[in-house]
Amino acid sequence: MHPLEAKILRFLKRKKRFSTQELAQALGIKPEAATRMSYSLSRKGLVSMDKQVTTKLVRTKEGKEVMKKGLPEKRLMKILPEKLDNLPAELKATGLQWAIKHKWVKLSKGKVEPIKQLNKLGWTKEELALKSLEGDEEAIKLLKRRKWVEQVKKTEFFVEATKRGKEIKIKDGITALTPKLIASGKWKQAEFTPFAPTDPGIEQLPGRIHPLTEMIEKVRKIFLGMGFTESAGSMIESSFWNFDALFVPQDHPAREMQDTFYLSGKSRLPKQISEKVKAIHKQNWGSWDPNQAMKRVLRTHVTALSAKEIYENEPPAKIFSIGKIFRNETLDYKHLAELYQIDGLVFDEKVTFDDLFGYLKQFFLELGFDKIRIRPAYFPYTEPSVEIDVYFPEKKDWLELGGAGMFRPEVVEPLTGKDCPVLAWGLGLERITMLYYGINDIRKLYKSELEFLRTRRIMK
Amino acid sequence: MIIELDFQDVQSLLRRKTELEKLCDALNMYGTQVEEVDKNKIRIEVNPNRPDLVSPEGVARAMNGFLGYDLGLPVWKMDGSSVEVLIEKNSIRPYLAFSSITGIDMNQNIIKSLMQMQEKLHTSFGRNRRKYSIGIYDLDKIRPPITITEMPLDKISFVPLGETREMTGKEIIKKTDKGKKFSGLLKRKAPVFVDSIGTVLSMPPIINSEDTKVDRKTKNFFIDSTGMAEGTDTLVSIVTSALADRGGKIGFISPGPTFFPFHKPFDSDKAQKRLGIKIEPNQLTNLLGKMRVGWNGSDALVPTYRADLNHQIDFTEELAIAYGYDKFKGTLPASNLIGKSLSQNDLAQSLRQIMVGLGFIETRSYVLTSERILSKRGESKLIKAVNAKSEEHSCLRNKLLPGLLDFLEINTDSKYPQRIFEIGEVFSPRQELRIAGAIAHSEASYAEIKGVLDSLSISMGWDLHWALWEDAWFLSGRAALSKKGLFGEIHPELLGEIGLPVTGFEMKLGKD
Repeated sequence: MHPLEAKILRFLKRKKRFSTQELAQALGIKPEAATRMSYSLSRKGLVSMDKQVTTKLVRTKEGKEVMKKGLPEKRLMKILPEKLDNLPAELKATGLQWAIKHKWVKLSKGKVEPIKQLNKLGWTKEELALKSLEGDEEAIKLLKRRKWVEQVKKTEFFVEATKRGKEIKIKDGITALTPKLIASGKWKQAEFTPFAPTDPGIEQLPGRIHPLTEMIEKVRKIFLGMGFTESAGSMIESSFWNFDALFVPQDHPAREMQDTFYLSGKSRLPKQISEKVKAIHKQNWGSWDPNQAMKRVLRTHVTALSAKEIYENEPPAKIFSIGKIFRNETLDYKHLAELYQIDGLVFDEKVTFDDLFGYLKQFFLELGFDKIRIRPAYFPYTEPSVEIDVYFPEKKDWLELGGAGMFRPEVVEPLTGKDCPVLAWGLGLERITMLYYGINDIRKLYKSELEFLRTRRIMK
Repeated sequence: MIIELDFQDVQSLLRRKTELEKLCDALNMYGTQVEEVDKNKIRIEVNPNRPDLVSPEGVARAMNGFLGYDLGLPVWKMDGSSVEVLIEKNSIRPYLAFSSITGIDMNQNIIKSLMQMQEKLHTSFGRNRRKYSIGIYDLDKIRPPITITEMPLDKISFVPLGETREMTGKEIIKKTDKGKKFSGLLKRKAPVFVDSIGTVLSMPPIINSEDTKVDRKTKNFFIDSTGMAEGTDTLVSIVTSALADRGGKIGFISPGPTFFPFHKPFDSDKAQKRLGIKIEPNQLTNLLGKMRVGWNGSDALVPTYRADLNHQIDFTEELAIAYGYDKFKGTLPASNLIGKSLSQNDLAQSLRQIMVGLGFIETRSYVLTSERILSKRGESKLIKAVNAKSEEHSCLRNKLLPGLLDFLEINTDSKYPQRIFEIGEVFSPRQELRIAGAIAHSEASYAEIKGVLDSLSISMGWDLHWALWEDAWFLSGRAALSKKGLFGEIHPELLGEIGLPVTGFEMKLGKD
């Protein structure tokens, strides 16, 4: 018998019924150990064990946040009056609807105006209930609805010695083989307590690689294996390389402030090449303003780097790069303001559009996505252009994972002086990662829950 | 842009009965992705190079070709128009085009289509009417000839569309919704279209008149486009062809499109070489025909509603779409290029292995974060986006440690000890690669974090001389600095919700 089992049984022989929690306290052992040992004793028929489930109200993560920062509707009141569009997203999402419901504020002409004064509002029902975790049914219901509290089940075990347990003669076993036992040879006479293989072991908190890194490494391996050279560039780029060199007209919607992050300051234009780019823009779009091209942006695609690569390299060349790109977006479960893009290019006199299908199919095949669909698409800098969908049997649907094409002559000619075929693609790393691992919320990948990173599976 | 189609309506415009599923497949493989099918409604994504597809008529015309029901250039009833346009003054929106179309049997679908077409063309191709705008009128409410002229805003007077009383140009711009929205496009004067008895047709690009509006009884139409660049012909062609598909007879007006196809040189051998496919000569006419493009052996013949087909590469793409993207085999060319990785990324990966071995979890936080997180301790010289939509993502990080602290703060309900690290770019102010780590538990100590750094230094071959360092992020006397970076015990004021001691380090990975 395990020494702890012996200790528990000895205790129970003299006394009556106990919860494992109480047992642990009385004997000075860990509660998990008390439970585990009681289980083991009950399997031997020496104690009887029964389970009692009670529920308890606890604050959720959001609830704790509200405790710390205050009710969203009250925080909202602090910044009023304010234009609806200027409200912080978080307060707009929850605070506003409740402030309206309570008739604290009114909406007029796109502006939120207070009806009541913040300091006269007093404690609301929810606030009181959240603080005390008590209150009438309605208040608790409200807290649950707002996901600030949840019922947590607590399971307790009660143990009691059986008749046999009271009668049995208790003998301590040996639990661990020690250097001393080995050296002295006493292990030969010792009685070892058997393992309880179904019991959990000692919990480990592992060090692990992030899922995005795992995917980046897989992608690097595939492209290096296909003979591509790896490259990297700056996340801060000039509009010239991000847009103009890629033949994106200066009045294109993608260049507007609502889609692209602009930085203050100006970039210098590469002299010779900007003259050629200017000429091609003037010829096709009528005008070209160097000041627009000099504006600094957070690159919206790694394709900006690809343009530089074909300017700096001679064919044949195969180059790939995995880098951050930025979109001026409001975050939700599908959208992030920054993403990784896997960019590749093949710059070769002999390469064909059919080869583009070959590279893309091969890439996805190596990642384990064997059913892909390539559709016609449109990008300002490629022609022909394609979009790549991968079929997901779980969702019974095609999901878009990236775009590709052959750079237009209007892109290639100014940069290289000739019309040489260039295959190019940009694939979304986060989406591929989510599908690969079965992750359904893109926000899980950044500022993640530690528990998720510690326990996630390395494949779907 | 997203276009909504009524399946029954498209069906009625197709030459053969077509199952919904077949139509959706064809739309996808044509390059107009089907976003959603909801009962009878199909929502498709139309690319900006194809303004001709913003109507059910345009889509059905394309599908009639692509599905093989009606190959080659579209054929319509055409003639010279009875309407004459006189240009008196034309300096504000100098590019003009007109047409008329007669004999339409009006119905609800046509009205809906005209409205959708006008709206989508204005916002996309027309760049919110700045570059181009379109007007559609009931021809029977107009007495030609029509005079194109310009007048000061306060001299213009008519009943604008949707209003009940006569207003001056000035009033229209100040008081009507459309006027307010587009007032920036006009200065003191505006273009005005007037007919022979003085009825005002419109004041482009703002609004048409109530007197000449299209309604359920309209049979004959007058169409205009005004703009700041070439392309007004295309817009008039798009709208006119859509009505011609409904059975109308096109009338040419000068200036305006003639509806005779453009001849553009196309080298089909070169195209096949670029695509990597072989097409039999007798197949070429059929394939281009599927795209509603004609072929005479050396020139491609392009309908006037397609402004996007000009160069060799444009026809190459048409040929590829007609051939079918699903028919490309996907060849992998032989190549003797050898892949080479970036040593910086290899180094980062080796470092990750070491950190994981030391029991650290890798995290990733945003490069673009908030000033609130970064400037807790009075940081300056941050790089900020001038136009960020949300404060949460407006500032490029200049350190990794704040992101790690933020991570620890949102994970206080996870088990301790928590050991985390991140390798990533910061902007200080130049872009550079760094590694940072943090340890949080009730006994997090100097000795533990220093032990991690010592181990890391041995692996990296760093020979570092540490000296005490004062920094607002760390407790006084509990931080040290070397040429690669620093470590120390995080200042309690920064711990927030964590409520446990945290030690951390941050080191540069580039050259010193």
